[in-house]
Amino acid sequence: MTAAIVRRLLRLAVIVLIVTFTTFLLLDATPGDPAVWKLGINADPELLAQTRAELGLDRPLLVRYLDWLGDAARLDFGESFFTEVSSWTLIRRALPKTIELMVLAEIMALAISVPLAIAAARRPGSWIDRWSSGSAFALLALPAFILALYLSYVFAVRLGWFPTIVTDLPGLNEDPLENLRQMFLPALTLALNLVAVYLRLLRSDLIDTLQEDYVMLAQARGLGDRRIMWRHVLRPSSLNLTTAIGLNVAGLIGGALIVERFFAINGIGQLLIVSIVGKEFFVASAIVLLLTVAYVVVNFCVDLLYSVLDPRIRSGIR
Amino acid sequence: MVRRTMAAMLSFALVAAGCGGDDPATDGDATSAADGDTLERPEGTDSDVAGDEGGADDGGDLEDPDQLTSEGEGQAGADLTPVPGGEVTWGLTNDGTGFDTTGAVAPGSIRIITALTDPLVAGTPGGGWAPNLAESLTPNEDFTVWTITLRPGVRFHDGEPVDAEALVANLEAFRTGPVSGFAFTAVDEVVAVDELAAEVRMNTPWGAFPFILINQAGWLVSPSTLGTNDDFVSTGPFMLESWTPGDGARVVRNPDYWREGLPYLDAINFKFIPEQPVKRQALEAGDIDGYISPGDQDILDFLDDDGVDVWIGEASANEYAYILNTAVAPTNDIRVRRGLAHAIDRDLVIDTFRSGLTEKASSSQTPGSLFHHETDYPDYDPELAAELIAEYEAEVEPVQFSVKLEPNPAVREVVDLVASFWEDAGAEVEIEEIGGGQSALTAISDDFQVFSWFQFSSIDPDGDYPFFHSDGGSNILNWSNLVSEKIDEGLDIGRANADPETRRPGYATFQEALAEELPILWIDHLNGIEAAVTRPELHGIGPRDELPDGGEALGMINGSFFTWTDVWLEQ
Amino acid sequence: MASVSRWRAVTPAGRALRLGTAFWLSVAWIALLVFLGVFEDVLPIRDADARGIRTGEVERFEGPGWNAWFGGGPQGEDQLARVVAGIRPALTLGLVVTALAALVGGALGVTAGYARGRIDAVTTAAIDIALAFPALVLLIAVRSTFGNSLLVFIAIFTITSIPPYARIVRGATLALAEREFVDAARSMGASTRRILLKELAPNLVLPVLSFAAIGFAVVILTEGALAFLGLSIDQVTWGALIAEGTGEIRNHPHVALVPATVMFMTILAFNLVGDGLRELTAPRTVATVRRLEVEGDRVAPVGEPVLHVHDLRTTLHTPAGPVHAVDGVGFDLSAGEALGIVGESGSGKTMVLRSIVGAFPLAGVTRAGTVDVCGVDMLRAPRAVVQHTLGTCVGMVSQNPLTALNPTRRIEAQIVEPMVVHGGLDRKAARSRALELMQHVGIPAPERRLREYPHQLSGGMRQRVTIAIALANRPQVLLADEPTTALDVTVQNQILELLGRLRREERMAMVLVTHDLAVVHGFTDRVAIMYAGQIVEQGPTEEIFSNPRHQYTIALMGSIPDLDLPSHSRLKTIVGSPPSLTDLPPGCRFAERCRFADERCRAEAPPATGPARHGYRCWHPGVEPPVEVGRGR
Repeated sequence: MTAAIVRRLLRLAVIVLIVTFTTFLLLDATPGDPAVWKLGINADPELLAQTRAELGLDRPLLVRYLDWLGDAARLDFGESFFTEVSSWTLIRRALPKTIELMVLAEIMALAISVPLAIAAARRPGSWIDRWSSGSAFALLALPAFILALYLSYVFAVRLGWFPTIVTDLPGLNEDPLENLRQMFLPALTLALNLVAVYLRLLRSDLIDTLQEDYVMLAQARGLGDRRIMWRHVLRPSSLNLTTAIGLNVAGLIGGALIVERFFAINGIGQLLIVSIVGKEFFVASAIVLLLTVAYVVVNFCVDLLYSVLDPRIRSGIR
Repeated sequence: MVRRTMAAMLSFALVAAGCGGDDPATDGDATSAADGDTLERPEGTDSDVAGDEGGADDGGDLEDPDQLTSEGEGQAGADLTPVPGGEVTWGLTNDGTGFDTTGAVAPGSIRIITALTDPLVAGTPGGGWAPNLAESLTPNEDFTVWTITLRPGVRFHDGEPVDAEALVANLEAFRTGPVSGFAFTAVDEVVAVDELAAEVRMNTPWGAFPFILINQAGWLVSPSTLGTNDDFVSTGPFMLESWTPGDGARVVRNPDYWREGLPYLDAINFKFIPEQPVKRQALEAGDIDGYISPGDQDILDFLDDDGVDVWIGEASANEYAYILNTAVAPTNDIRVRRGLAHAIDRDLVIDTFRSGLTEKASSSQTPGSLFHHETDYPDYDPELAAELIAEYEAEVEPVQFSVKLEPNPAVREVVDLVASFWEDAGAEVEIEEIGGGQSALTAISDDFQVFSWFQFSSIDPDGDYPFFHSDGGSNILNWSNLVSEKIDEGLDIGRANADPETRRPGYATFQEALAEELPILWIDHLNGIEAAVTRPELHGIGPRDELPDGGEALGMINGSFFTWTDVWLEQ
Repeated sequence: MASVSRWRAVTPAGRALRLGTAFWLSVAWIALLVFLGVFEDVLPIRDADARGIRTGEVERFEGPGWNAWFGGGPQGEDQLARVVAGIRPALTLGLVVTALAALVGGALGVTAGYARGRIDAVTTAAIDIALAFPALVLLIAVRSTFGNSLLVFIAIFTITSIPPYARIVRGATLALAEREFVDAARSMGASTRRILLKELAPNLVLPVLSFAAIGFAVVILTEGALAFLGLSIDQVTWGALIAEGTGEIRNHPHVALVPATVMFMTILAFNLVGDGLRELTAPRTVATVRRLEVEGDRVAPVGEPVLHVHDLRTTLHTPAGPVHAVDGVGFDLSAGEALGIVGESGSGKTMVLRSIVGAFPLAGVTRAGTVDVCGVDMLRAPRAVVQHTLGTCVGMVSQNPLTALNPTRRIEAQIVEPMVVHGGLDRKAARSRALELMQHVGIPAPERRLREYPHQLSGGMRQRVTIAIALANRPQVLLADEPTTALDVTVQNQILELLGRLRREERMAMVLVTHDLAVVHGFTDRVAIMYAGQIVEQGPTEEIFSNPRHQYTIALMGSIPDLDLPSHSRLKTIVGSPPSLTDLPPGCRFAERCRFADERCRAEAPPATGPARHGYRCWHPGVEPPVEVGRGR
């Protein structure tokens, strides 16, 4: 067990190294000079050189990277060139909102897609199957920015149930109701795009499982449909869904970006794109590092969940 | 129109460079030189610039802003007495990047700073200036020394006194600042002469000097905090409570504000909302109380809406224009420049992208401004345009060039249309977006032929000095590389004098030379589409503010001076 | 093997699949798009770049109408022309990226999943890196370096799309590689490539195809999001049109909504076509209990048999048409009596059992006739009553112990469940009864086994567990569907002995379905021979063996079941194959393969004849004791 964990940690370290270095490389490849942006173009060359030196931009990429890495190992991720705020502060402010957004979105997506998938799998081809997958596709095929505007218009401007923007978000522990009220529409926007994927995956896996012998035998034993579905079918059918949720961690950041812009949430998505466009090596790399660790950790949890869901994996059969 | 996203993002980067997204003028130095307005640039220009609808009004210049409010609040509280209290949430189009007054301050930051500070000088209607935080500014005979006297008893938010020492520290920091210094090249030194007064000594006569103190150069911060980027300890009606990059800031009432009984509001929450439709829905839903509209669409839609007040700017803003590089072919030939100028149907551009709300420009001075001079700037004449191009092509070579622009979809649409005019006149045009994240300023300092540009305009035409004066060809900010004696002469006259009657002929010469030589093809003055849209309960946003010594100052929506001092909320 | 046969087999002849209107509408939509995309330059539509404000043809934000069908854009562009211009980039991007990513990702995934070891480790690590890395960073960097041409975007999208495919395929490969048929192929000395191509690839097509449908949508949508961020391709795309219209959505909704609708319909169409194609390659409609239909009236039993089946007709409604899986089957079974049902694969013998319990793997089943179990009409009684009867009166043991137990639940939960649900026992009582049962069926260390999962048990042990579950509520009828076929020979005998013992001890009636005559002999009291959905001969076991009347039975007696053959292989000793159940001949169903068949056999179905205790359906019943009818191997 320990060996397995050590192996995983090693692997995580390698992945983090590659990913963060790639970030440095890619940012270095993009045109533009942070020193020029900071000083303006009329700054004389001497000053530019001096600023570059201050920002550490005059040194070779590899040296800069190793420096950053060394600092990062001491949990110092550098600061933004422009705002001179530390990466960690920026991330700490942005992260909780994005995490909440993503977790809420996943919960909502599952809350919508699981019952629909079950209903659809019970009667493939029925109206509920057709309508659920049709509507899910409509939602999938609707760009998030249109969805955000319409949801906001209907539920915030017209009905006034939720705010159009997230301002001064209270912590979940301080005022959970207000927090959820503000995060509801953003999370829903993000969730609705996921529903189709989850619904489709789970539905087809449920249908596969429904054809297993043991399901037929459960029916032959006079067990009710509902019991069979929830106790016998759902769990073995949820492996692919779990995988998809794990894989989504990185993908959701892209979706979160749009949602964050449309509900004025200063989350990680916005911070990331601003950092990339602004060639903020340190901030961008810190975020990428964070996302990588998050991805690996979540997928580690997914693996653990696998073995909970399917005992065969526990004993290494699969 | 739409798609501001990227624009807004870019503006972050560019702006950091010194304001540049759209208005190039802005780089720290450059701009500062541009004049008082300097480092600032109207919010939202990037985003919007495009709009629709037609129907310009007469070119008559200052419209009565009252006409444009949707309800009877025009007189900003004429029949309403201000009451203290209340909190306001204000939408920001651009994110702030910090508060270092010696660096390039981003538009988003400036919006916040306007609640935190009182500049030394305020702009007044009609193009003049008046002392604001300063008690007085007096020049010597030949405008080579200006004496600034401060008001007694004023303190910074941290309790430090606002005295000559602090004034010198701030102005010296600005003069020597790597980014800001360019605006103060005419200043030799700043010296305290007594407890509350300091002399600004020039190396050349500078009659328009006070204008530069309307903005960044005129902000005073507590000397101990000079050069800090994450805090702003100044003299203004509000104090910075918190600032979160990417999100906004919260400012609270300054209980010890030096102007009695002001401000009215308890706090203002500045909230960064990058998406225009979202700002709009947030206003409709009451989640925010107002914002500076970045485009014509809001103005049009909200004018008929009793639930929203609209305040349109009347004075200095940007001009949209195309800079022609007079050092390279084919734009080094006046026939080509003239042909390109004649080819553009500016009315159609204005109808299409500004809903007819802006006016055609022929210089940085709006038709209503003190120094505006009528010139025979080439108007739309497609036949003549084609003729001129054909003539050049017959003699020299086919007219082929590339237009560079920042990667902003809204600007791109305009460039597409303008390019289609040029192609109709016979030119072969390639449109080239500068790389994502590349500063427009960087791009324009490289080789270019034609560049889509937002020229930063100022209350006083002296602001044009750094961009058009050739300095014998050594001025790198003279983007078009045109060396024109007439232009230099006109600008020099304007700078060396303070009497408008003496300066006017100088600027007339300057504007005539611009129309003749055409280093820059003007499209329109953008002030017509810069407006504040607010909930009607919010008062005092209008075009005028009251000066501490009585009299009117330009208000929030008129160019750069924008104060929250007398804004109040109906309870 | 079960799942393989599920996919590969059961594609009934003809493939006359009805794909449905939605499918054809989708095909038509895609065809229209392709047509417009290909011929956009020669079609009489306006220039997509033309501005109405200059040409005067279209007004700004003109509403959709005769002049401009899709309305006008912000500069009076003809939105129809622009939407058409967006077809090429959309289809090119969507299809090329999806195809490339699926191919490359698929190849990587198969290699990693099949080769395992180091190759797998490296590939998975690479996949993890790629998936963890925010694609946005890559996109912005690459775009600013290489420009925003369609080609660059295809490259970026493909690169970022490969990892998910690789990961999915790898997972599927890992799972498939353990399946028996791959092992079988491997042990038979098939080359790696052959296994990959012939055995794995066909089974991977489905998951990939299913993922690709979503993948296609995601590519098109991502382009839209990028267009919104101003980061997309340097040409008119649907995403760009929608993004452009977003700001106008309140005043001029058509500017955004028309291209959004076109995009939506395209995504939907590709998904529907994908689904349809999937159905084509693997037609399956699926178990839904509610679709069980019942026709006809009940016929009351004579006497008091525990199990009474009369004129049972089961029709499966498949896409290929109705399948008459069980066609007029009847038998009675009293307590303690054992009936063997013998037949080839596909003869309907398993279907008889399923018809009794009403559990089918296929959707749309109609049952007619009578099935009484313990006096309850299993076809017409209320659902709850039927379920209770199934839970208390019937026990069922299925063919493959490997698939008969839920792999994700502990043995204990599975044994206890019927006792708690139907037996009225509490958990504790159920548990002690479970222990008792485990001992009863001969499982050593039952305490420990109860806590284990099915995969921790051997095949024989698992079958004992399924028997224990079947016995949980002391059923009066035990239905055993080839209970020994999947087990190896020594275990087979143990299980048979166990079943025999249980029958005697519990006085259960038992139906034993098998293709193995040897199993039937000496174990059952009576035998029913099934052929093409009918019982062609039924009688006391001894009599059937000593004096078979139906020519099929006679042929069967002559063939020696080969234990080495996989369970579903046909008895090869009888030449030919049974008729299709969808297209039955009018006469005797065995006629095609019968040496004695004549005109009447082919024209007229033989009625059930013979004495009540030994009936048969044959025009030429054999009279001689069967000697050497079959030709052996």
